[in-house]
Amino acid sequence: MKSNIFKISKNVFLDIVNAEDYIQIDRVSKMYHSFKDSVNKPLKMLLLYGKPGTGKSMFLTKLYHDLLSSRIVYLYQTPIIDDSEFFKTLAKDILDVKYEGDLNFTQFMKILDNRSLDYVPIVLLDEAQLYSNFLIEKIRLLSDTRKIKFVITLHKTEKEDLIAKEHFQTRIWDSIELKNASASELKVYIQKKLMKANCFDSANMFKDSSVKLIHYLTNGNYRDTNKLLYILFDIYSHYHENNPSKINTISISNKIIEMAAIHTGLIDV
Amino acid sequence: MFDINELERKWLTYKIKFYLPHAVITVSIIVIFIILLTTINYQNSKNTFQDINRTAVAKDENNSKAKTETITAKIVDSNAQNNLSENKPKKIETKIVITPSLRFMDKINKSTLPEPIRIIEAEAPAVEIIKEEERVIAKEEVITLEEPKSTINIKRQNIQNDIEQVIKRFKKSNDPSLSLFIAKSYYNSGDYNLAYNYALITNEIDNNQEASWIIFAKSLVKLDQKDKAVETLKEYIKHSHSANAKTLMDEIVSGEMK
Repeated sequence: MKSNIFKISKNVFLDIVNAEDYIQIDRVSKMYHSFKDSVNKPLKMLLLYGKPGTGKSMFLTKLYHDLLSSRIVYLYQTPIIDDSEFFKTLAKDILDVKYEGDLNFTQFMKILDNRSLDYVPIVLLDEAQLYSNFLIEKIRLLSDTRKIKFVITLHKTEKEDLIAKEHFQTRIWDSIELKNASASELKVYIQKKLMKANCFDSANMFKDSSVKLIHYLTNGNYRDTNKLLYILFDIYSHYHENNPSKINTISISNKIIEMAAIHTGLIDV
Repeated sequence: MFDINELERKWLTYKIKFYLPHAVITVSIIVIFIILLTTINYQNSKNTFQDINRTAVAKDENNSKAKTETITAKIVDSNAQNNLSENKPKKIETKIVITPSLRFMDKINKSTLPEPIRIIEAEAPAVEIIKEEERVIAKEEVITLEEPKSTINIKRQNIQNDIEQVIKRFKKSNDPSLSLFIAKSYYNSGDYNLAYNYALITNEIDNNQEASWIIFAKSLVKLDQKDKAVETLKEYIKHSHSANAKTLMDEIVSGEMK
């Protein structure tokens, strides 16, 4: 094994939202294609929800990149919390109108009515739970015009469920809940991710037992898994450089998994 | 970045914390299991002990019951015998149960029988004891006397000397047991006249000696005086109700005894 393999493997698990790095396991792949088809249907609004770290942002980014070639799509990964800024951004991006001063919902609707678009732009809003209820209500009214289609992602909490019920229940025509990975899905995810970066040796080190332990510690959460594996390969890299006799390159050591979990706070000592 | 030594130390602490409850639970289960096992064993042994005690007590109770029954039976018997004895003439009186004397065996062992007379001398006390016994013991007397009889037979060539020695002693002591012994010896050696005489002498000294009546009757039979023998036994049976005498009388009457 080359001396820098652990360092390369470590960087694979950096928590970066990059559509090219998106790893689709079978279950999510089916959901993705179903959701993608729904975007092309004349639906007012689409909802993507799930617990933090289940891959919503990555899912949305992947969708954005896939739709970009065929549709007019706008992705807002960072929420625009201010109402005026939100409508001004939409006016600028969708209608190509630069508006000086505050732009409220009524003014934006007038501009939209004056511009006759021969297409329906798709607006992807990540972290929509951060928008105010008032703004969410305006987004709902906007989607009712069928002139703009919204795809929004929400964290699934009790509060966010309430938002979904109150504002979108009658309007959302399609929704997908993303869940944590099972142990077998997590193994596929880890190995695919490593193999995509040509880290075949380190990918082969993940046996069922070690993946089970990782799944036990992270509960199949992708964000926690990425964080854990980043530290794990950092520790491996450290041992490889300073004390190579302490590690074997055949399988991932449970001890090092636990050490990484302690460091990341997944195990409380 | 991380401090690998600190991380290893934390990992060790974590493992100890992780396995500690498991170890405690495992040890607790083992201890509980051992305690249970010990308790069960103790209970079993206690139960077994109690069972044994119960059995022993039951046996004791049975034994005591049996003993009580035996004692009751004996009391009943003794009462019955007392009743009988009240009806009988005062011939059979004290009833002392004693064991047969085995002193002659000691003498046999000690002196390898230098002289046959010593055996006879050893025999005498047994006869004396028998004299005091009740009728039941009188049966034992027969048995006791039969055993040394074989010893006496071995020394048969000296039997005359032996009898003479006993006669001498009898003349000195006038002991009916000695005269009875002489009568039996003469009867066994075929001297029925002498046997008759000594049986009669014994009977005159002590008419409670059943054996003297038996030898007397047997000698009469051998001397062709069956009728007299039967009459004598009848007379004896009248007041003694002796089973042996009855049996002998039946044998004489039926002709078995010749």
